[in-house]
Order: sequence, then structure tokens, then C-alpha cells
Amino acid sequence: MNYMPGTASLIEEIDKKQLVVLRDGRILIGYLRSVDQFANLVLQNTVERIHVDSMYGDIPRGVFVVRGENVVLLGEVDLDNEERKDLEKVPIQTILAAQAKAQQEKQDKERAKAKIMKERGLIPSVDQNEDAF
Amino acid sequence: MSNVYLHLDPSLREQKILAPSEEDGKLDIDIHNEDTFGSGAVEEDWECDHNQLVQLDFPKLDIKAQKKPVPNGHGKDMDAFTFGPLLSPSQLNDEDIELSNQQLAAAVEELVLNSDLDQDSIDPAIVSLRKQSLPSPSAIPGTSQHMAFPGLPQRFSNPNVTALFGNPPTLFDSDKMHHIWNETFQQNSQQAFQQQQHLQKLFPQAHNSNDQMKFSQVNSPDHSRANVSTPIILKAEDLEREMQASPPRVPSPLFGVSIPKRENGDFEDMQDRSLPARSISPVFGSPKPNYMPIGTPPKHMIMDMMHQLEQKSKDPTSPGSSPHLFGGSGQLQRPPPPPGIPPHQLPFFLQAPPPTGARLPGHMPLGVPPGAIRMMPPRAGMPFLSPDIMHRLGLRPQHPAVHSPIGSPRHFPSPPAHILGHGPTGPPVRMPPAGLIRPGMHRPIVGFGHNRPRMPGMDHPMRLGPGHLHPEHSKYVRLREQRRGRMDRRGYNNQQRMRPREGMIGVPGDPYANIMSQKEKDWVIKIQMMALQSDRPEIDDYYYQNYIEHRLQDGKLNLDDSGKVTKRLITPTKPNLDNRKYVPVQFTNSLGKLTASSVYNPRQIIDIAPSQEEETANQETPESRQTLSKRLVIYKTIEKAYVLVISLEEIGFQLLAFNEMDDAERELLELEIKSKTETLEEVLGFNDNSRFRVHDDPVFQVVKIRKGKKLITRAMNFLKQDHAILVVQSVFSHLAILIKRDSRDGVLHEMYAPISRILSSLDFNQIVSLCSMLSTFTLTAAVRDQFGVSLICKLLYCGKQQQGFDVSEKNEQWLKFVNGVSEVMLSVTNPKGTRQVRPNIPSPLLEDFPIDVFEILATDSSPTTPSDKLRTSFDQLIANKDNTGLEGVTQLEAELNRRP
Repeated sequence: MNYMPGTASLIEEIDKKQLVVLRDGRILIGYLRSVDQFANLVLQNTVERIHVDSMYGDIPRGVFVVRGENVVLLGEVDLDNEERKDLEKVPIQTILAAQAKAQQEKQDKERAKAKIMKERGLIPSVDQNEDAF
Repeated sequence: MSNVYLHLDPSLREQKILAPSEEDGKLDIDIHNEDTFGSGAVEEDWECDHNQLVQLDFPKLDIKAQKKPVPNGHGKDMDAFTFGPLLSPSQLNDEDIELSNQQLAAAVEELVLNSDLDQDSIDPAIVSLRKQSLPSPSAIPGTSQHMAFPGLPQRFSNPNVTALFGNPPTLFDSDKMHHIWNETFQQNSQQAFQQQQHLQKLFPQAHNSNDQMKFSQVNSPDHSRANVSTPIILKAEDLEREMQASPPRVPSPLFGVSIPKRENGDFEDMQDRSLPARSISPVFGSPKPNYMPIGTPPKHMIMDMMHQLEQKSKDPTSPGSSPHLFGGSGQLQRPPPPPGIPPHQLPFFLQAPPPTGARLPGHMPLGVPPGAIRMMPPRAGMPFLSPDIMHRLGLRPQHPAVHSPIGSPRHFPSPPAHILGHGPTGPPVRMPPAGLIRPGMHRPIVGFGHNRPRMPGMDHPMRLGPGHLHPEHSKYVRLREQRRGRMDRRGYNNQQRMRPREGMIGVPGDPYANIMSQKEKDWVIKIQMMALQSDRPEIDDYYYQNYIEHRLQDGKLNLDDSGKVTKRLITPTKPNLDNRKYVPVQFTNSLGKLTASSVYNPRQIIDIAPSQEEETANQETPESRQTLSKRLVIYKTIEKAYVLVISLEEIGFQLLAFNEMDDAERELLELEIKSKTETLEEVLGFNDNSRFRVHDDPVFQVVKIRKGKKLITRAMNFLKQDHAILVVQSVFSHLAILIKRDSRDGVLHEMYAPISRILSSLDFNQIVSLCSMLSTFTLTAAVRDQFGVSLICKLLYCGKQQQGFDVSEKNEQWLKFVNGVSEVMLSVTNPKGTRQVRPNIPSPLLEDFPIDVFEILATDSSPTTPSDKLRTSFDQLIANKDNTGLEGVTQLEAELNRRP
């Protein structure tokens, strides 16, 4: 199978279910409807998938227009193996709570780590990756 | 084609009873499409596409007949009624509609022609692809037109548009209805049956449809009449949609009868090709609608429609039908059956598979399996790619007839009949009653979206252009294609799987599929391809070329390191950018260059650049130099020299302004002056050992021109002594001409100061040689002129200064010259005795007036003693000298010296 240069290769992915990872770490799953030369995407029936540990939850987002520069990766969802046994789908509220909790834990951990390092005279670099799940 | 009657009995159409209704029906559908989606939304000729989809190339009669049993899968024909009432016939003016239709047709035609031909013909990549991939038009009878202009709807070319909009409905005529429903049908039933038999043989896929035909023959037409008064009207289309729809759409608010919900999520409906959401749900992307579509006509309106249609059926030529409300012809007026009755008890017209344009208002939850209604053979190739792109990807459509559906929305491949589990000649399948059947149950379908049927050659290129491929590599790739092509064709069916599918989205029938039109896709591909175009791959694609070279040397072109066949990047076929030379857009009477650019015709940033280069190039070549006029060359020389002189003067000012600057800086500046002076002398045509030649004098050519005089004036400050003397010699030898030419310009006097400075620095021999250049004619001309006389006076003065009193040859020459000058002067200044000393006008020119020279003459008693006249003239001159006094002269000199 040959492929076309640049974003032209995305044209083959149109009207298929795609998983898109954005630069801020968000994961979108939806049907790719349109692309252009900048890899700007139009996703339909989009859900934002949040993974926490072995749980995941989908937030319906509807139509999603993604600016191309924010796309980290895009891949077709294998519909045959879409349902993974090792992952458990939970309601939105549950996953949001879990996400908040995980973020809180992470923040606490970071804070504790920063405190310890500060006691030893080290200034930790600030990572702005709280959203990156 | 949307006529059920025609479906049941195509012979009717031949009897011309309902013949016009087919055409009308098609037009109706087109207009419905326009009403629903907006004009142009459904651009393709769905009928043609449909024919190609079913891959039937039968004679004309059969083609018409087959349209009935083989339903199309476009789904564009839905819900036209939803907006139909918005445009009732009474609101529309025939002429307006016709006019607007014609205009629209013209506009669309132009648009399509321009865009497709223009842009594609510009882009060499696409053009070459087209050439390569398109089969000859003759290979696709009836489709070539649509290949070329896929967006050009046939409907626009139909002149009968007005016939669709007609008079308001007249009275209900049951007799005619009866005629339509019963008599006509009965008359032709026998013929129809034969036709069905024939069709069954011809189209095994259409088997189920024919089943329904049989039902319809069994059912009494009276059944339908009994239901005429039923208030709610259904179209077969809606009936069909109800049967096929996914659960949210199934419960009809009209009837409250619902199909049991599916139990698992993997139910999928390949058959639903209707387009629900865009017209029904006003919100894009909103869930599938559960409601009656917006604009559903009220019952009385539906009855009105029936009237109209009846009129139309009664008189096919009468333009009495409402195209907005009805998809086609007579069958639409049939009343609906009571909800929930099994299909086999339905009136025949409801069991009949609805033709493309057929639609009935309302929904009907009857569970006719979709498989009985719509079948299409699988489409070869990837439906979302145009033929040329498919070729790029190494795909080849199996059938030439499948070319044109590409790009048309909502076309999906369906499996052939044997996949569906119905043999071509199998027995008719009894339809289960409504509510007992799950839609899609009979038809596991090979998906399109995620695992569309793999076509042979999909994984390997079939016809790839060489692109930038190394010749050896491309040869190998071609061989590999052939080899693998054979292999894959054998194992083709193994790859086909049937897979359950979820929901409406992402499956065939996905109403949002192909939102991105083929043109847009091609556009993106073109842009990306253009980035790769190159006419010098060994430079622009160095690493690939080298890589292939190494591969060839190693003898493992075919395999990568892991032993797998690698994917290949598709590159433009013909990298020739030369063909795409930018041509600025020009319109008549437009001023300047217009900036009309596009992706295909990008504007050059500076249009003027190449023309400048051309000029300089012309100047360099000797041939073109000859073609240029001499004067132009001189102008160029002057221009160049002027630039140098100005920069030299600037440096000189810097040197003057910064007296305290370092020696290093000063040296630097002086070096610059030196180099620039050399350049200047070069430009002016001086050589180190150049000698003055009267006939080939570059300085004279320059000085002849007004600007050149000023240039030489300024340049003499920088010239070397030798070259400055050359200039002076040139001026002296051509003094007469220069004076004559200067009569208009009046700038020659500016040259006096530098020349006089040079003269002051000359030794006697040089002065004498200068004097020899001045003929009597020249002297005469010079004496008459302010500049000339000043020059001669200066010369005389300097000669006097340098003159030795030794008697030599030079001295004699000098005396001779002085004598000649005096004679000329006298004869000029006092031709008639009224003597007026001319050189008394501008004081700067008098500064060096060599009065004492003439004193010598006056005192000299040589044989060339002047006459009395002359003597008095000298007296006057001497007196003049006394009057003005040498003090004035010295003052002026001092003034001049003070100037920079």
C-alpha cells in the first residue's frame, strides 16, 4: 500500500473512526469528516476519552474542529477490537471524579516532592502538564 | 423511474400512457433534492450513478426497466416532502422558476467547467494523472459526460422544467383514478408478468423486488381503492425508511407503532441510505431525529397533492403536479395501509420496492426486510477517491462504469446477491409481519467504512507513474505490482469478512459520509503533491536518489532491512515546473500588473526581477551591445560612472570632515578612493597606457552629452594626471563641436575650473601640443564663446608662465599660436571696427585673461606685426586690464580656491 505525501495521506482516513491525541494530551475519538493541507480536522460524533488507571469514560463532544497544529497523532480505531477487556468503561461522572482525584494526588505528590527538594536546596522545574493524562 | 407502475409493468411506459412521468419523476426528484439540500447539494446525476452502481450495461430498454426493481442507494431522495409545502405550486411563477433554473444551470455549468478544466489543466500532476488513469470515453458509454463534468446535473439540461410547475390542482376525479389504478394495470398485467420474468433472468440481484411484484399482482387493486379515504398517506420511501431505520427513528409519532428495539449494539443497517439529519434535524450533528420532520405537510395538503397527481396521471402532458410534494407519479397517491399489517397483505403498490424518487409522506413502521428492497453489487475501488487518485494509490477500478459515482455522496457498496443469501433464482421470501423482524437481519453486509471490501490491487500499486523514482526502482516497482496483482486476485475473497457494525455513523448509509467532496480531496492532494514536484530530483531528492543507488549496488532493491516490502511514497508523476510559468493576469484597459494568484498559479513576488536580469544579460553579450544604440551605451557608461563619482565624492567629504581620524581609517578610505577611481577610469575607457586618439575618443562621446560634461567635470577631480590630460586633449581637439553643442545646454563653462587647473599644471611642451590641436576654425569658434575664450586665455596665460626665452622649436610654435589667436580674436571681436571686447562679461572667466600675452605681441616688432586696428585693440585690452586690475583677478582666484 502506498501513501500520499503530507496530509494527503489523511484523506484515506476520512469517514472512518479515528482516535486523535492533541498536544495537551486530550484524546478525541470521532469520525473524521474533513481535512485540509494543515491537518486541520473535522471530527463528528466526537467523544473525549479520559483514562484513569484501567477505567475510562467518554464525554460526548459532538462535532469537533481541531486546528492542525494541535494534533499529535491520529489513528484509525480498530472497530473489531474496540472494546478492550482490560479497560473498564465507567460513567462520565465517575471518570471525571477519578480524574480530579488523580490530578489532586499528582499535585499533592508534586508539592511534596517540591517541598523536599526545596529543603535540600533544589528548585524544581515547574511542569505544566497537569492536563496531560 | 420512480413510477411503480413502470416498475410493475414497464410496457406501460412504452405505450406512452405514463411515459412522460418517468422523466417528470426524475426531475421531480432532482427538484426535491434541491429543495431539501439546497441547489447544488446533490450535484451528481444519481440516475447515472445508480446505473453504474448496479453495473448493468444493458440495452436501453432494459436499463429503463431495471431501474425499477433495483433500488438505488443514494438516500438523497428522502424527505423531500418535508420542505415541499414551503413551496407550493401556487406560490411559484412558472417563468421565474424556469428562468432561475436556466441561470442556475448556466452558472453551475460554468463553475464546473472552469474549476475542473482550469485548475486541473494547470496542475501538471493532476493532468498527467488524468491522462494516465482515465479510460477512453468510449469505454464508458453514457458516462463519459459525467466523468468529465461530474458536477453537472443532467436536470439542468432538461428544458421541460416548467412542465413540472403547473396549474393548481383541480377537482378530484375518481374515475380517472380508477382508470389508473385498475384498468390500465389490468390491461397490461399479462405483459407485465412477462416482463418480470425477463427481468428476473436478467437481474438476479433484483430478485426480491420481483417477489414484491408478484405480491402486488396477487393483491387486488381494489384493496387500494378501499383505502383511498384513509387520511394518512405514506410514501413507499418512508415505508422503506421505517423498515430500515435504526431504533431512534423507528417509532413513528404518526402511528405509535414501533419496531422492537435491537437488543445488542451491533445492529447495523446497511440499507438505510436515506439522509435523515440534515433536513430533519435543524442542528448539525444532533442525534438522530425522533420526530416528524420539520415541514411535514398536514393531511389536507397531502390530499391536495393527491389531487394534483391525479390530474397528472390522467393527462401525462399536463403540468399539473406539484414537484415539491411528490417524487414522481401516480403511485404516490395510494393511500396507506393500516399500520401493522403484514407486508404480504399490503396493497401491491406498497410492497413494490420504491424506485429512487418515490416518497410518501409520513412514516410507516412495516418490517419489510431491507434486503428485499435494495441491493447493489460491490463497487470496485475505493469510493472516496477519484479515479486518478485511485491510480495514484495503485488501485484500479474493476469496472469502468464505476468511475463516475466517485465523489458522489452516499454511495456505498453493497455485496452481491450471493453474499446476501438469496440465490439468483431462489424462491421468493415471505416477508415477516411488521414488528417481528429486525431491520438488517437478512443482510449482513460487508462494511465499507472500516473494512470496506478489499479490492485487488489495493495493497499494491497497479499503475504508478514513475514519479521521482529511480529508473531501476520504478521498473522493479512495476514488476512487483504485476506479481502481487496476480497473487492478490487469488486470495481476494479471503480478505472479505462480514462484520457487525454499530449505529448509523461510520457505516454505509452514514449520512455524513463524503461531506468532503472529491474536489476538496483532490485539492488537498494537489497541494501536497506540488510540494514534491521537482525537475531536478538529484538535487531536491538527493537522499532518495542516493539511497536507491546504494540499494542497487547491494542488490536488494526489493526488501528493506526487515525483509518486508516497504511502503512507497506517492510522488508526482511529471515534475515539470517549467510548464507552469507564471503569467500575470491581464485584462484589457487594466493598468499595471494585477495580483490574481491561486494555488495553481502562484504569484511571483517581484515580477520586475527577470526583466532587469534580461537587460543586464543583453548588455553583457557583444551581439546585443551592437544592437543597442551607441547613445544608449554612452548613457549606461555615464550612469555607472556617475555612481562611482558620487561615492568618491562622499568619501572625499568624509576625509575632509574627519580630519582627526586614524591613519588606518584614512588609509582605508584612500584605498577605497583608489579602487573606485580605477573602476571609474575603466568605465570611462581609460587605460594605463592609453594615448589620445582623435577618432576613437571615449571621453568625447561622454562629453558630447550634457550629463557627461557634468560627469567629467566632477570626475576630473579624481582622475590621474595622465587621464586628466587625456580629457583636456579631448576637449581641446573637439572644442568647436563642443561649443556648438553646448549652445543649448550651457553647462560647458562648468568644465572650465578643472580644465584650467590641469592647464596650470602642464609644462610647456604639453601646452604647445595642446595649442597644436586648436585649428584656426576651432579658435574662431572658441573665441566667440565664453568658455572657449576663457580656455584659450588660460592656455595663453599658462603658456606665458611656462615659456622659456630660449629660442627653440617649441617657442616658435608657441609664438605662432599666440599670433594666430590674436588675429582670430581681433577679427572676431572687431569685425566692423566697432570694437567691443567680448571677454569682459563673466568675471571668473576673466581671471586669467592673458593680457600680458598680448602685451608681448604689442611690444614685439616681428614681421607679423598687427595692423593699427589690432594695435588699438591691444591698447584697449591693456587699458581694460588696468581698469579691472589684476587685484580683481586675484580676488576672484582666491574665491575660487576657497570653494571645495
